[in-house]
Amino acid sequence: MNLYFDNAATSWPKAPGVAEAVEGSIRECFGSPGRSNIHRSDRILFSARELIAGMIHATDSSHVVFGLNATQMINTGLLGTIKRGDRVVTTSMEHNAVSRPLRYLQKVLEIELDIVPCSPEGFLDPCDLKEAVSRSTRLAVINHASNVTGAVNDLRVLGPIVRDAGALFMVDCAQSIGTIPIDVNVDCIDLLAGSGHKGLLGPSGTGFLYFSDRVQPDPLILGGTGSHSEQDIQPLDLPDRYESGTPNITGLAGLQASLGYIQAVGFDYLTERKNQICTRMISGISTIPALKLSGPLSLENRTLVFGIHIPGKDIADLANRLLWDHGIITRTGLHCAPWAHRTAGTYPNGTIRISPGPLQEDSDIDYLLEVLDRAVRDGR
Amino acid sequence: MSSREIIVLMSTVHQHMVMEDRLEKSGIGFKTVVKPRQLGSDCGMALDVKEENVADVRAVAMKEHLGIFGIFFRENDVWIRWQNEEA
Repeated sequence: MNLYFDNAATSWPKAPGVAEAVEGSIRECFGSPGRSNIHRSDRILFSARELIAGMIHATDSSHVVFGLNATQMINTGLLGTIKRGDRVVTTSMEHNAVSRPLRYLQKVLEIELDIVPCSPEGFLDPCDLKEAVSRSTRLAVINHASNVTGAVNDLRVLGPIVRDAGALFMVDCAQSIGTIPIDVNVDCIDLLAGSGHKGLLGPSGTGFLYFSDRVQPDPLILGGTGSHSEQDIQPLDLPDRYESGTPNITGLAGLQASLGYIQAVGFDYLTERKNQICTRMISGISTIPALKLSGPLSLENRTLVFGIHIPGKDIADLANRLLWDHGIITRTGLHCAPWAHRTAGTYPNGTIRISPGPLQEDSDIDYLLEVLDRAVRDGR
Repeated sequence: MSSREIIVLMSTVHQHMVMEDRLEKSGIGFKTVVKPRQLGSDCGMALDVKEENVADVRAVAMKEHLGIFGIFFRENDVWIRWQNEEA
């Protein structure tokens, strides 16, 4: 039997009801949104949109648009907003989903890029951000929760700093949505990209972008929307402007179900579960002296991402022992975030990332820790 | 009360979906129908409502800040914008 601990890449198990919703969307006739005389798919999209808007406290759900994943939505936010010569502030903890588009824009639009260093745990110092945005800045884009160290930055402190400086505030919430409460108004967020298949416990192939009244990025993809079909130009209607082509209704049906589950059990339950697993993981790892854990050692400001390594040893050996001897599935390497590993001091070898999900049983965590201890000792 | 055929067109598909949701929650009767070709070339939808419910539909739109593109009635197979839209 395999035990899955790579929820930072994609969640498993999914929320109760997701599989049935996905199956139902295929077995039953849902049609295509905005293009059909039946509109069950419109209702799926609408319902998922409203649930996400409610979760992040967005007042207008037409400002929540769907795409394939957080990466696509980050690209829409960055490439659609940043113009030639703009100054952009970011951090040393960013995922390639952010760093690669920014490097591209640096090359093709000659943007000025200011990469603010974070602490080895992954935290952005508000003073450093304040200083960085004090020069005329178009946009600041930061990682809410690190996929390498699990560190969670305090948006309630950082957002107002960016807003006060007159810049747009964009947040990559791929690792935090569904796990950490977010309020786009209080947190002064202008652009928020999230994935549907990680903390939201939905199917892969689902992501979303929220944008505030202060910004409307140019869409990355143009085409049929089912609206204003007589016009050759992309409609400005929201959310149509950003949703050309047939969306992933199957995935979004599953996402609607997972959002409904989260709404039903409540954020408090998920937060409590996260804290329980964090406590178990941190105390368990600390009893294995050979292991070094990246990121914060406290429950505060962290998610269920635990990057471990053994100094001087090839982590692939440990990962292979976990997988082939004990059926433990983890994720080894740089996790598409070389900047973050440089910041954490784990570049170029990377770490073994263990990322449990909120629906994981305590017995699974205990088994993992027991096996980890054994595997480390066997590898000496 | 007359029994004219009335349709309400919202400004966008999204607003149509919001209106559907709010009308259902308010218990106001409606039917979603295909937008008449005379009123638009896209694949949009319209709300078929009873004339006596038009005021309630407007009230919901105002409360929810939803844009009604127009209210129309059919006469001799032609859709005519309802002039008394403020009613």
